[in-house]
Amino acid sequence: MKDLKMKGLEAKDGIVKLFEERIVFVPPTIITLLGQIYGEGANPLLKYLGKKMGRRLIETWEEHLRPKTLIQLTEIFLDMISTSGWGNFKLEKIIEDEEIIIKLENNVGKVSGGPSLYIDYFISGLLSGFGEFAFYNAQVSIEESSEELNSIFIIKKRKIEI
Amino acid sequence: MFSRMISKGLKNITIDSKRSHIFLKDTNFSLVIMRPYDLVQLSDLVGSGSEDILVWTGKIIGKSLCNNIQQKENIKTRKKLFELLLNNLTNLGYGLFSMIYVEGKKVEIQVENSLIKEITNEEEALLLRNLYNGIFLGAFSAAGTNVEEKQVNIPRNDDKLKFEYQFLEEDSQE
Repeated sequence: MKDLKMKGLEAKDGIVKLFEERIVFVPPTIITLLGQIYGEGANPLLKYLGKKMGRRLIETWEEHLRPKTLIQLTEIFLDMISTSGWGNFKLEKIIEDEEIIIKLENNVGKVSGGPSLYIDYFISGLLSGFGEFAFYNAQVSIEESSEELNSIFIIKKRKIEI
Repeated sequence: MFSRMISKGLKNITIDSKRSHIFLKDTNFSLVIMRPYDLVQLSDLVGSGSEDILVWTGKIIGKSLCNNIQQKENIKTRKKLFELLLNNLTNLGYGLFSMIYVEGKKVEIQVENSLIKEITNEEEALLLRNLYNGIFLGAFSAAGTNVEEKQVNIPRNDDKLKFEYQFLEEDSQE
Protein backbone atom coordinates (compact mmCIF):
# COMPACT_ATOMS: atom_id res chain seq x y z
CA MET A 1 0.00 0.00 0.00
CA LYS A 2 1.27 3.45 -0.87
CA ASP A 3 2.09 5.96 1.87
CA LEU A 4 0.05 9.10 2.11
CA LYS A 5 1.71 12.47 2.67
CA MET A 6 0.40 13.74 6.00
CA LYS A 7 -0.69 17.14 4.81
CA GLY A 8 -3.97 17.13 6.71
CA LEU A 9 -6.20 20.15 6.37
CA GLU A 10 -4.97 23.14 4.43
CA ALA A 11 -6.78 26.39 3.76
CA LYS A 12 -5.97 29.24 1.41
CA ASP A 13 -8.12 31.87 -0.33
CA GLY A 14 -11.39 30.14 0.49
CA ILE A 15 -10.23 26.73 -0.65
CA VAL A 16 -9.98 24.06 2.04
CA LYS A 17 -8.25 20.82 1.18
CA LEU A 18 -8.12 17.58 3.11
CA PHE A 19 -5.23 15.43 1.97
CA GLU A 20 -5.10 17.51 -1.21
CA GLU A 21 -8.78 17.00 -2.08
CA ARG A 22 -11.11 20.05 -1.94
CA ILE A 23 -13.71 19.83 0.78
CA VAL A 24 -16.32 22.08 2.35
CA PHE A 25 -17.79 22.21 5.87
CA VAL A 26 -21.58 21.94 6.18
CA PRO A 27 -23.86 21.48 9.18
CA PRO A 28 -25.06 17.84 9.53
CA THR A 29 -28.54 19.21 10.22
CA ILE A 30 -29.03 19.51 6.45
CA ILE A 31 -29.34 15.71 6.37
CA THR A 32 -31.94 15.71 9.16
CA LEU A 33 -33.94 18.44 7.47
CA LEU A 34 -33.73 16.75 4.06
CA GLY A 35 -35.04 13.61 5.78
CA GLN A 36 -37.98 15.57 7.14
CA ILE A 37 -38.76 16.90 3.64
CA TYR A 38 -38.57 13.47 2.03
CA GLY A 39 -40.95 12.14 4.70
CA GLU A 40 -41.83 8.47 4.25
CA GLY A 41 -39.33 8.07 1.43
CA ALA A 42 -36.46 9.38 3.55
CA ASN A 43 -34.92 6.02 4.33
CA PRO A 44 -34.17 4.87 0.73
CA LEU A 45 -33.40 8.40 -0.48
CA LEU A 46 -30.87 9.23 2.23
CA LYS A 47 -29.30 5.79 1.89
CA TYR A 48 -29.00 6.30 -1.86
CA LEU A 49 -27.41 9.71 -1.32
CA GLY A 50 -24.95 8.35 1.25
CA LYS A 51 -24.18 5.37 -0.95
CA LYS A 52 -23.07 7.52 -3.86
CA MET A 53 -20.85 9.60 -1.57
CA GLY A 54 -19.39 6.52 0.16
CA ARG A 55 -18.69 4.82 -3.13
CA ARG A 56 -16.93 7.84 -4.59
CA LEU A 57 -14.88 8.33 -1.42
CA ILE A 58 -13.51 4.79 -1.37
CA GLU A 59 -12.92 4.75 -5.14
CA THR A 60 -10.81 7.90 -4.87
CA TRP A 61 -8.75 6.68 -1.96
CA GLU A 62 -8.34 3.14 -3.23
CA GLU A 63 -6.83 4.62 -6.37
CA HIS A 64 -4.44 6.80 -4.33
CA LEU A 65 -3.34 4.27 -1.75
CA ARG A 66 -3.72 0.89 -3.48
CA PRO A 67 -4.55 -1.26 -0.43
CA LYS A 68 -3.86 -4.94 -0.83
CA THR A 69 -6.24 -6.51 1.67
CA LEU A 70 -9.82 -6.03 2.78
CA ILE A 71 -8.60 -4.91 6.22
CA GLN A 72 -6.40 -2.22 4.66
CA LEU A 73 -9.24 -1.07 2.42
CA THR A 74 -11.64 -0.91 5.38
CA GLU A 75 -9.15 0.97 7.54
CA ILE A 76 -8.59 3.57 4.82
CA PHE A 77 -12.32 4.15 4.49
CA LEU A 78 -12.91 4.31 8.25
CA ASP A 79 -9.98 6.68 8.73
CA MET A 80 -11.24 9.00 6.00
CA ILE A 81 -14.81 8.95 7.19
CA SER A 82 -13.72 9.48 10.82
CA THR A 83 -12.08 12.75 9.84
CA SER A 84 -15.39 13.99 8.42
CA GLY A 85 -17.12 14.92 11.67
CA TRP A 86 -19.79 12.18 11.87
CA GLY A 87 -18.07 10.53 14.84
CA ASN A 88 -15.37 7.94 15.29
CA PHE A 89 -15.73 4.81 13.14
CA LYS A 90 -14.05 1.71 14.55
CA LEU A 91 -13.64 -1.68 12.97
CA GLU A 92 -15.15 -4.22 15.37
CA LYS A 93 -14.93 -7.39 13.36
CA ILE A 94 -14.17 -8.46 9.84
CA ILE A 95 -14.93 -11.81 8.25
CA GLU A 96 -13.30 -12.01 4.84
CA ASP A 97 -15.80 -12.24 2.01
CA GLU A 98 -18.72 -12.20 4.45
CA GLU A 99 -19.25 -9.26 6.79
CA ILE A 100 -17.73 -6.17 8.39
CA ILE A 101 -18.99 -4.86 11.73
CA ILE A 102 -18.36 -1.20 12.42
CA LYS A 103 -18.95 0.74 15.62
CA LEU A 104 -19.64 4.45 15.32
CA GLU A 105 -18.64 6.14 18.57
CA ASN A 106 -20.08 9.57 19.41
CA ASN A 107 -22.51 9.47 16.51
CA VAL A 108 -22.99 13.18 15.73
CA GLY A 109 -26.71 12.57 15.21
CA LYS A 110 -27.07 11.30 18.77
CA VAL A 111 -24.69 13.79 20.37
CA SER A 112 -26.64 16.75 19.01
CA GLY A 113 -29.68 15.60 20.97
CA GLY A 114 -32.10 15.64 18.04
CA PRO A 115 -33.45 12.57 16.24
CA SER A 116 -30.52 10.60 14.83
CA LEU A 117 -32.71 8.50 12.56
CA TYR A 118 -32.03 10.40 9.32
CA ILE A 119 -28.32 10.71 9.98
CA ASP A 120 -28.25 6.95 10.67
CA TYR A 121 -29.93 6.30 7.30
CA PHE A 122 -27.39 8.53 5.59
CA ILE A 123 -24.43 6.89 7.35
CA SER A 124 -25.69 3.41 6.53
CA GLY A 125 -25.76 4.64 2.93
CA LEU A 126 -22.15 5.81 3.18
CA LEU A 127 -21.16 2.39 4.51
CA SER A 128 -23.24 0.68 1.88
CA GLY A 129 -21.30 2.53 -0.86
CA PHE A 130 -18.12 1.22 0.71
CA GLY A 131 -19.63 -2.26 1.18
CA GLU A 132 -20.59 -2.51 -2.49
CA PHE A 133 -17.07 -1.55 -3.49
CA ALA A 134 -15.58 -4.12 -1.12
CA PHE A 135 -18.08 -6.97 -1.63
CA TYR A 136 -19.63 -6.06 -5.01
CA ASN A 137 -23.09 -6.47 -3.52
CA ALA A 138 -23.73 -5.63 0.12
CA GLN A 139 -26.44 -4.81 2.59
CA VAL A 140 -26.07 -2.62 5.68
CA SER A 141 -28.13 -2.93 8.84
CA ILE A 142 -28.10 -0.76 11.95
CA GLU A 143 -28.01 -2.21 15.45
CA GLU A 144 -28.53 -0.11 18.53
CA SER A 145 -25.48 -0.12 20.76
CA SER A 146 -25.77 -0.53 24.52
CA GLU A 147 -23.75 2.68 24.80
CA GLU A 148 -25.99 5.71 24.43
CA LEU A 149 -24.01 7.73 21.88
CA ASN A 150 -22.80 4.84 19.75
CA SER A 151 -24.27 2.87 16.87
CA ILE A 152 -23.34 -0.44 15.29
CA PHE A 153 -23.46 -0.95 11.53
CA ILE A 154 -23.20 -4.38 9.93
CA ILE A 155 -22.11 -4.63 6.30
CA LYS A 156 -23.04 -8.05 4.96
CA LYS A 157 -22.10 -9.44 1.61
CA ARG A 158 -25.17 -10.33 -0.42
CA LYS A 159 -24.80 -13.75 -1.94
CA ILE A 160 -26.02 -13.89 -5.49
CA GLU A 161 -27.52 -17.24 -6.34
CA ILE A 162 -27.57 -18.17 -9.97
CA MET B 1 -2.94 6.63 9.35
CA PHE B 2 -4.97 9.82 9.65
CA SER B 3 -4.79 10.05 13.43
CA ARG B 4 -2.61 13.18 13.36
CA MET B 5 -4.96 15.68 11.84
CA ILE B 6 -2.94 18.75 11.05
CA SER B 7 -4.79 21.94 10.26
CA LYS B 8 -2.74 24.57 8.45
CA GLY B 9 -4.20 28.02 7.94
CA LEU B 10 -7.63 26.88 9.05
CA LYS B 11 -9.48 29.46 11.11
CA ASN B 12 -12.87 29.34 12.83
CA ILE B 13 -12.80 25.54 13.05
CA THR B 14 -12.28 23.43 16.15
CA ILE B 15 -11.47 19.75 15.70
CA ASP B 16 -12.27 17.40 18.57
CA SER B 17 -10.07 14.55 17.40
CA LYS B 18 -11.00 12.35 20.37
CA ARG B 19 -14.67 12.28 19.37
CA SER B 20 -14.05 12.91 15.66
CA HIS B 21 -16.27 15.97 15.69
CA ILE B 22 -15.81 19.34 14.02
CA PHE B 23 -17.25 22.62 15.34
CA LEU B 24 -17.45 26.23 14.35
CA LYS B 25 -14.94 27.84 16.73
CA ASP B 26 -16.30 28.82 20.18
CA THR B 27 -19.75 27.36 19.43
CA ASN B 28 -21.53 24.01 19.66
CA PHE B 29 -22.36 24.26 15.99
CA SER B 30 -21.45 20.88 14.47
CA LEU B 31 -19.97 20.62 11.02
CA VAL B 32 -19.21 17.71 8.73
CA ILE B 33 -16.97 17.47 5.70
CA MET B 34 -18.42 17.01 2.24
CA ARG B 35 -16.96 17.24 -1.24
CA PRO B 36 -18.30 19.84 -3.71
CA TYR B 37 -19.84 17.11 -5.84
CA ASP B 38 -21.68 15.72 -2.77
CA LEU B 39 -23.59 18.98 -2.58
CA VAL B 40 -24.69 18.68 -6.20
CA GLN B 41 -25.96 15.21 -5.42
CA LEU B 42 -28.15 16.49 -2.59
CA SER B 43 -30.43 17.77 -5.31
CA ASP B 44 -30.00 14.76 -7.57
CA LEU B 45 -32.82 12.83 -5.99
CA VAL B 46 -35.65 15.18 -6.70
CA GLY B 47 -35.26 15.77 -10.44
CA SER B 48 -37.23 18.84 -11.46
CA GLY B 49 -37.14 20.50 -8.03
CA SER B 50 -33.37 20.23 -7.71
CA GLU B 51 -32.78 23.99 -7.79
CA ASP B 52 -35.21 24.49 -4.91
CA ILE B 53 -33.52 21.82 -2.78
CA LEU B 54 -30.16 23.55 -3.18
CA VAL B 55 -31.61 26.99 -2.44
CA TRP B 56 -33.30 25.51 0.60
CA THR B 57 -30.12 23.71 1.75
CA GLY B 58 -28.23 26.97 1.32
CA LYS B 59 -30.85 28.81 3.37
CA ILE B 60 -30.32 26.40 6.28
CA ILE B 61 -26.56 26.94 6.09
CA GLY B 62 -26.84 30.75 5.85
CA LYS B 63 -29.45 31.05 8.56
CA SER B 64 -27.74 28.78 11.05
CA LEU B 65 -24.34 30.40 10.47
CA CYS B 66 -25.81 33.88 11.03
CA ASN B 67 -27.60 32.75 14.17
CA ASN B 68 -24.36 31.33 15.56
CA ILE B 69 -22.42 34.48 14.68
CA GLN B 70 -25.07 36.60 16.42
CA GLN B 71 -24.97 34.40 19.52
CA LYS B 72 -21.19 34.59 19.68
CA GLU B 73 -20.68 38.27 19.05
CA ASN B 74 -22.49 41.49 19.74
CA ILE B 75 -23.32 42.58 16.19
CA LYS B 76 -24.63 46.10 15.81
CA THR B 77 -25.13 46.40 12.06
CA ARG B 78 -26.25 44.17 9.19
CA LYS B 79 -23.13 45.11 7.29
CA LYS B 80 -20.96 43.75 10.11
CA LEU B 81 -23.07 40.58 10.27
CA PHE B 82 -22.53 40.05 6.55
CA GLU B 83 -18.82 40.71 6.79
CA LEU B 84 -18.55 38.05 9.48
CA LEU B 85 -20.74 35.64 7.52
CA LEU B 86 -18.57 35.96 4.40
CA ASN B 87 -15.45 35.58 6.51
CA ASN B 88 -16.88 32.38 8.00
CA LEU B 89 -17.85 31.05 4.59
CA THR B 90 -14.32 31.68 3.34
CA ASN B 91 -12.93 29.72 6.28
CA LEU B 92 -15.39 26.89 5.71
CA GLY B 93 -14.18 26.40 2.13
CA TYR B 94 -16.95 28.04 0.09
CA GLY B 95 -14.54 30.37 -1.74
CA LEU B 96 -13.11 33.84 -1.33
CA PHE B 97 -15.82 36.45 -0.83
CA SER B 98 -15.88 40.18 -1.33
CA MET B 99 -18.80 42.52 -0.80
CA ILE B 100 -19.99 45.99 -1.72
CA TYR B 101 -22.60 47.05 0.79
CA VAL B 102 -24.59 50.18 0.00
CA GLU B 103 -26.52 51.01 3.17
CA GLY B 104 -30.26 50.84 2.64
CA LYS B 105 -29.93 50.11 -1.08
CA LYS B 106 -28.12 46.97 -2.16
CA VAL B 107 -25.48 44.35 -1.50
CA GLU B 108 -23.18 42.98 -4.18
CA ILE B 109 -21.31 39.80 -3.39
CA GLN B 110 -18.55 38.29 -5.48
CA VAL B 111 -17.12 34.78 -4.98
CA GLU B 112 -13.74 33.70 -6.28
CA ASN B 113 -12.60 30.08 -6.03
CA SER B 114 -16.20 28.98 -5.60
CA LEU B 115 -17.14 25.31 -5.30
CA ILE B 116 -18.51 25.53 -8.84
CA LYS B 117 -14.95 25.46 -10.16
CA GLU B 118 -14.68 21.86 -8.98
CA ILE B 119 -17.70 20.67 -10.97
CA THR B 120 -16.89 19.68 -14.52
CA ASN B 121 -20.45 19.27 -15.80
CA GLU B 122 -21.69 22.75 -16.78
CA GLU B 123 -25.32 22.06 -15.94
CA GLU B 124 -24.43 20.75 -12.47
CA ALA B 125 -22.08 23.67 -11.92
CA LEU B 126 -24.90 26.12 -12.63
CA LEU B 127 -27.11 24.17 -10.23
CA LEU B 128 -24.64 24.74 -7.42
CA ARG B 129 -25.04 28.51 -7.87
CA ASN B 130 -28.41 28.01 -6.16
CA LEU B 131 -26.67 26.87 -2.99
CA TYR B 132 -24.88 30.23 -2.71
CA ASN B 133 -28.08 32.13 -3.46
CA GLY B 134 -29.78 30.12 -0.70
CA ILE B 135 -26.98 30.88 1.77
CA PHE B 136 -27.37 34.63 1.20
CA LEU B 137 -31.18 34.51 1.29
CA GLY B 138 -31.01 32.50 4.55
CA ALA B 139 -28.64 35.08 6.01
CA PHE B 140 -30.91 37.98 5.00
CA SER B 141 -33.79 36.15 6.61
CA ALA B 142 -31.79 35.64 9.85
CA ALA B 143 -30.97 39.35 9.81
CA GLY B 144 -34.67 40.16 9.39
CA THR B 145 -34.12 41.81 6.01
CA ASN B 146 -36.35 41.59 2.95
CA VAL B 147 -34.46 41.58 -0.33
CA GLU B 148 -34.99 41.02 -4.01
CA GLU B 149 -32.39 39.21 -6.04
CA LYS B 150 -31.26 41.09 -9.12
CA GLN B 151 -30.09 38.91 -11.99
CA VAL B 152 -26.47 39.59 -12.78
CA ASN B 153 -25.18 38.81 -16.26
CA ILE B 154 -21.93 36.96 -16.02
CA PRO B 155 -19.64 36.64 -19.03
CA ARG B 156 -19.04 32.98 -19.92
CA ASN B 157 -15.29 33.22 -19.42
CA ASP B 158 -15.63 34.80 -15.97
CA ASP B 159 -14.98 32.24 -13.26
CA LYS B 160 -16.30 34.46 -10.48
CA LEU B 161 -19.80 34.18 -9.08
CA LYS B 162 -21.70 37.44 -8.67
CA PHE B 163 -24.86 38.15 -6.72
CA GLU B 164 -26.78 41.35 -6.21
CA TYR B 165 -29.64 41.92 -3.77
CA GLN B 166 -31.69 45.04 -3.41
CA PHE B 167 -33.22 45.93 -0.08
CA LEU B 168 -36.97 46.22 -0.30
CA GLU B 169 -38.52 49.56 0.65
CA GLU B 170 -39.32 48.89 4.30
CA ASP B 171 -35.73 47.79 4.96
CA SER B 172 -34.08 50.54 2.97
CA GLN B 173 -35.40 53.09 5.46
CA GLU B 174 -33.25 51.74 8.32
